[in-house]
Amino acid sequence: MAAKVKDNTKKPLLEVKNLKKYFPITKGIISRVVGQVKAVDDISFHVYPNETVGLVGESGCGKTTAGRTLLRLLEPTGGEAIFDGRDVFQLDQLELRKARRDMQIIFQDPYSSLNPRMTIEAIIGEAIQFHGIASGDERRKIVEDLLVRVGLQPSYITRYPHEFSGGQRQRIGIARALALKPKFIVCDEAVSALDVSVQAQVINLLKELQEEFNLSYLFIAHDLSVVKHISDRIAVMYLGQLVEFADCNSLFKAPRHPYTQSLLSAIPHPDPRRKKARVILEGDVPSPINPPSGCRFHTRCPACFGPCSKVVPKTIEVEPDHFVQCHLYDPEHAPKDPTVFDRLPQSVPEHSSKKKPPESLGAAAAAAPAVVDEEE
Amino acid sequence: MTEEVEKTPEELEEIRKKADLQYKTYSEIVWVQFKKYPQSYYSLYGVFALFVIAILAPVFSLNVPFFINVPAGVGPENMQGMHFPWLAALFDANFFEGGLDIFFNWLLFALPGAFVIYKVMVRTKTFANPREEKAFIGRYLGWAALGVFASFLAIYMFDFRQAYVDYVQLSQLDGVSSLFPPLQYSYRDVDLNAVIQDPSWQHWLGTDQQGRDVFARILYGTRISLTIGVVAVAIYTAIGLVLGGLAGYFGGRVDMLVMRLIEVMICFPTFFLILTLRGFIDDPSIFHIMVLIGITGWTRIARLVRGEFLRLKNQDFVQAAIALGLTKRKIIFRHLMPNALGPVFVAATFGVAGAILIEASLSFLGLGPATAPSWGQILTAGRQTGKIVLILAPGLAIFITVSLLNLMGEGIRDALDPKLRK
Ligand SMILES: Nc1ncnc2c1ncn2[C@@H]1O[C@H](COP(=O)(O)OP(=O)(O)O)[C@@H](O)[C@H]1O
Ligand code: SF4
Ligand SMILES: [Mg+2]
Repeated sequence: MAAKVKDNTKKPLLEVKNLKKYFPITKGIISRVVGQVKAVDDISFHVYPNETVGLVGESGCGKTTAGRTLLRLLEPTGGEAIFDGRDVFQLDQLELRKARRDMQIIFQDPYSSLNPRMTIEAIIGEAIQFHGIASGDERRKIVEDLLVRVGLQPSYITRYPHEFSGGQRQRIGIARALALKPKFIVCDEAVSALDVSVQAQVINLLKELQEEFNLSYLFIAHDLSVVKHISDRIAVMYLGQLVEFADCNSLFKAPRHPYTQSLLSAIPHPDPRRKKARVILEGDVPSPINPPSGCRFHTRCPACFGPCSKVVPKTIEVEPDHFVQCHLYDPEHAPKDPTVFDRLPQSVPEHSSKKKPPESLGAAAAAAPAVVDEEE
Repeated sequence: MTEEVEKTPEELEEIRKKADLQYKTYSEIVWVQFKKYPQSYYSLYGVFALFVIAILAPVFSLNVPFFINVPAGVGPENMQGMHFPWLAALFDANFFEGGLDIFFNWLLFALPGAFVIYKVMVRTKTFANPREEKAFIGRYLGWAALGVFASFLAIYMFDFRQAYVDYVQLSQLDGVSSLFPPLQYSYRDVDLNAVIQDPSWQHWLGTDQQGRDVFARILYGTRISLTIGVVAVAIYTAIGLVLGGLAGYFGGRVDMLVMRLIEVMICFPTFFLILTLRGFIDDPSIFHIMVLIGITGWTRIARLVRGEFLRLKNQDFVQAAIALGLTKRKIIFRHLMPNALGPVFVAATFGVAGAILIEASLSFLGLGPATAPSWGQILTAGRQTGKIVLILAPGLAIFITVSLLNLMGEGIRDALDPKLRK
């Protein structure tokens, strides 16, 4: 993993504050609004220059919606996205068009992401010409260079997308995103549709490009193992909210949120001798139309206790730059009975530091009634 | 790191086998596909032949000689000597009333001319690759079409007219030598000495109640049918593209408005709607008929385009175009339209057949263009004579044309359908 020296005193390139995106559910010919899909419900994070932030979560949890909303491909319901000192959500059409040069997106589906009726030169070069960067032979030269840079032959410019494989198309999509020399790229499941061997190549390419062009990524994936190889920090999303946001190392070493822990336990460990309890998440993902009360994860959480179903958990900074949204770590609500922590898929530093060997036996014996008490 | 995605030998073999599908443009793939269905392939030639027939009509049938030589002392003074009246007659607004015939007559010269110019231009050019050549042909076709149409307008505006001369009579005088088209009739020639005749060497399909040559009328009727079909469909396709595109792209209120309008329109059968509107026109020309079909027929296209736009709007390449900061206009015309045109093209091909049928029905009911030799009208005229050939001939012409167009439409539809591609 790239161990980049991160300077936290640096100003973030992108600061997302309280981002919300609700999709109205309408009915009838007059389109009466009868409800809302709270696809993204109040998430905040920031991305530093030249940094990759991974965004993971099960499918349907709102990752794509978050990524597209902050590029204003979808109009936000609320919140701010401060990019380079300006709130993207406040820009008018003209300013937005200019600002788009700095923020791009790479899509999941390599088949629908390229216009089947355009040549590769037109696909990559369209925006170069539109923004008045270059045209004619000059543009062709830029496109050829970009193709070489993403590992394709420059002679491909006259071809059409259907002549390429999925991996090649994804490279073309990357070249298109790079054409305007952006500072920030949302990679929405950019490798999820590719074969594993091709995935690694594309991830390596993205890393190289990051160094070369000084890019920042928001790298979206539903699989923690993919994000691990490229991210500096990782945000874990559940049902429209961020449940944990931490440095990649500390998230993998000491995940705090029960949901993150479950996700991690699902990744097979490369060392077969190290058997780990694999916790399969039970139950379906609740609907974002009617999210569960209190903590949204409480219907599936193995450690669910007293306040979970009633009180919405606050975001707690358990360690510097390690944020968790869970009552377990909130001094105000923390369980009096430490055995609640035993139900977690993985032990956490908070608990093990408190726990002393002799007491643990007694605590285990007293666990059962205490839990009933807690759950009421 | 720049290595290509690796392929297994089997995959490579597979690619080599499919080599004729690889590295082709979308339209080339569709063409390869289209050729796989012989019936639609040949129907394309059939439709092509119909257009050729329509253009060549005056070569087969006109009551004006290609040349005529009147010796001194024979006939009127001013007609003496060698003349080439056929050529002049083609652009004579007295002789061919209305622009339609003059347009087709002009094509008789303009199309070969455009072809020759193309050949000459290609000689002086070298193309880096076949695709560049194709692009050049595309551009050339566009300009040629524009040029042909502009020059036609110029000719039409010029309004060339000459006095009527009965060349048939003149040619029968002693000592006059002439060369006529095989049939010495125009579709308008009334000959009261030869009404309701059986087919003969003079009149291949006989004559109608006014002694007009039915073969000549059917021949020129091809022009009417094809023009009405193509132009009416062009009108409603244009309306459908605009309204459907607006509804699909902008959604919301615009969409609701367009959809309500469509719903109201499809409450009434199209033919009934046309009949009603026809009631407001006293003496319709073929132009009126085309407009009538045009303004009543767009709903299907509009719904198609709207559906395609709704589908395409959420495709990632359109989202990418928005993310690149392109304008709405660029997105609609470069990204949405080209991808929505396939099904529209198929619907339009079937639409041409439909429009030809509608016009024939209107003319059959006596509600069509009064003077034009349209097939429906020939059919009615034939019915009044009671002669079976005079009914069968125009009926067959309609049947063949409509069948060819429908077969071609089916071929295009199948060729555009990726599910049938293998
Ligand atoms: N245009 C839309 N209209 C209504 N609901 C939507 C729309 N797009 C996404 N959703 C809903 O929002 C939720 C989040 O979707 P998405 O952002 O695509 O999730 P992810 O990318 O994490 O798989 C899902 O429940 C989805 O059904
Ligand atoms: S707040 Fe409660 S239910 Fe939610 S994750 Fe933490 S322990 Fe589980
Ligand atoms: Mg997604």
